[in-house]
Amino acid sequence: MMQELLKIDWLVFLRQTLPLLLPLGGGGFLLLVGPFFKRSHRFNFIFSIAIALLALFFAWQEWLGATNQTVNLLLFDRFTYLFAILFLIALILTLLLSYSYLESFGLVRPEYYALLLFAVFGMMCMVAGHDLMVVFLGLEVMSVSVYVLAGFQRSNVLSVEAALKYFLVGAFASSFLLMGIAFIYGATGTTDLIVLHQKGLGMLAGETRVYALVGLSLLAVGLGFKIALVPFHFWAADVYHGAPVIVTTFMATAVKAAGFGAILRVVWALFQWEPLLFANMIWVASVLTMTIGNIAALTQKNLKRMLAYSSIAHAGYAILPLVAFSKQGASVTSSISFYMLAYILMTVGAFAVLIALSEKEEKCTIQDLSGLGTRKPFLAFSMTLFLLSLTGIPPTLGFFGKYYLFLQAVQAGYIWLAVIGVINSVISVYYYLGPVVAMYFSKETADQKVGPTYWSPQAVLVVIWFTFLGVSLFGLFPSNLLDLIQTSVSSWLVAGK
Amino acid sequence: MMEPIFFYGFGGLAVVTALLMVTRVNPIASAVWLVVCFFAFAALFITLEAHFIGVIQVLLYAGAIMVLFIFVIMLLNIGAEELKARTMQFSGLLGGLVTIYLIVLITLGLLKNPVRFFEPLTEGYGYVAPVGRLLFTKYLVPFELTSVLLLVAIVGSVVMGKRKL
Repeated sequence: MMQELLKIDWLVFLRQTLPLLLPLGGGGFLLLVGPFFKRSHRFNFIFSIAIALLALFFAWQEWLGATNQTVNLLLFDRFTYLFAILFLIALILTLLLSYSYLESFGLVRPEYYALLLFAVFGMMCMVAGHDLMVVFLGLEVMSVSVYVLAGFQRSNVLSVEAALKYFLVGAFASSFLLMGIAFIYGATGTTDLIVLHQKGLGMLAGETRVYALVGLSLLAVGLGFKIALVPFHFWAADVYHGAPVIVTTFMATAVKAAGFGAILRVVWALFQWEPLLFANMIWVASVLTMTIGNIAALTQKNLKRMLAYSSIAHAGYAILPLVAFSKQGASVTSSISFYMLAYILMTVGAFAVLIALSEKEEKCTIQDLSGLGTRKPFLAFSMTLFLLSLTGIPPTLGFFGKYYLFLQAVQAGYIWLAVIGVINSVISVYYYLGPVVAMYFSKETADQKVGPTYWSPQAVLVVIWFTFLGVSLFGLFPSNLLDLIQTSVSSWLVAGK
Repeated sequence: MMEPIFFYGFGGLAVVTALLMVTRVNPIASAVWLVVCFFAFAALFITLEAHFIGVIQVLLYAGAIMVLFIFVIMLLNIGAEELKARTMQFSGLLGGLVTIYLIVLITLGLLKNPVRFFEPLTEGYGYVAPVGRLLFTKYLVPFELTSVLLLVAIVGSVVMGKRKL
């Protein structure tokens, strides 16, 4: 045992984990030093941004030189670093959105930044872990941070309610997940995802089969809760609505991407034991999630709530290609990863426009947007682009994301499933275009004419520009991005065999 | 052989104290019986050569978690009238029935399918030293992750709970 420890090259290990350790260390540093800089919001902000950028740089470096090594239950392949980069992009965008928001809502505290950094650390562990224990602990680190962030605006009843609801439901879901892991350990004697992948089929035969199946279903329930699949979606609308909009942005993007990263790992290791059963489970969940998410979004007047339901619907689209996982694992994984990137960019963009409009109080209803087209042409135009991208209208990034998702289902012979997906996208046109109609065609109300003092801080505008360019440029030239993602994914799927 | 005597002795103690815990009217008395039950559990673990789990059982359950229980009970400050109702509730009846059902189920299950014995573990597998060695070598990352999780939880509870930040 001691020899094993000595065999690890700790310097290399340090370099490989640097993208993970930087947010962790940065969060700890902020907690230690933050109280002395309580007045200096700027210090905390710049420090977190610097940490995130540094981690992004090292993640990119490690992506270039990834070796598929497994050290200390962590798997350092390109897939890990790809998702690390996704989380860090979402983190940087959220941080940029946060600065002015925290100031104007009186929430300036170093803990906010520390918790965001810790959450990102947890997400990276979820994707990097090749042992179910590490995945679970990473998920818990992430969830606990996000529970608190959801209730960060303690003076607001809705925010506290969101935190409590999210905490209770999330803790319940975690217990399902843990129970599932315990059952799988009982049935197979290991929690190592690579070992499970290698001898998965043999384990499902024999008398432990029923325990393995129970474990798999509990695991599916636990993970389904985290990414808000129907019928485990009830928390999402209230939590997304109640939380401060910056936290909602983070939850809808980074947390969801982390859930999908973990799901892809788990599916790769476990769910090919029973491809047919798994495919049935996936298509039922996918159709239900898409349909219920879209139909519930139709009646929403509040954009935060609408985007919450739309994020449920998008989770439905994103799990759709998993039906084909056993046939074409690599392309399914890359299509989902691509979609996650697209979804992060367009959702952050849409929320950023809402944040740009919110001073002192959140302005998230459709009426608040009326007449925006004449008052703030750029904001209105970019909001329109993000909503079109969420709908999946070409030539936006969202279109290509959806196209690759549906393509996987079609290639595997699930044409009807892709058709249901397209029908759902058509339904979603109605509610995505509602705000667009309000922005360009409805008259301003009286009080908006009196004082249309939108303050749109610089950092928020930077985020809007960044996501705007991302959604439109990658929408026109998606192939480079897709190549990059396919390279990262293929190295992982080959490595396990 | 002393081992079976200890095993059945502490096993019986665990069952008796668990029953006492459920039947006491005073919640504090229940909690104290639960502490005794946890101690019996710890002794059971030690007879099964799982020393580490035995020690943790005493430290965590009998120590930390029970103190928390008693704090909560004292903070809730349940009066005598509320305690009376507790003996004749529908939920109690239901709980009793479920318990009996589970006991019957387990006994029948054991009678029908004889327990398949697992391979015995190596000597000293559950002692403190081997467990510690595993924790700090093979499972180093999960172990450290747990400490991060605790840190996050502490920070979170301060952020949510402190009156003035």
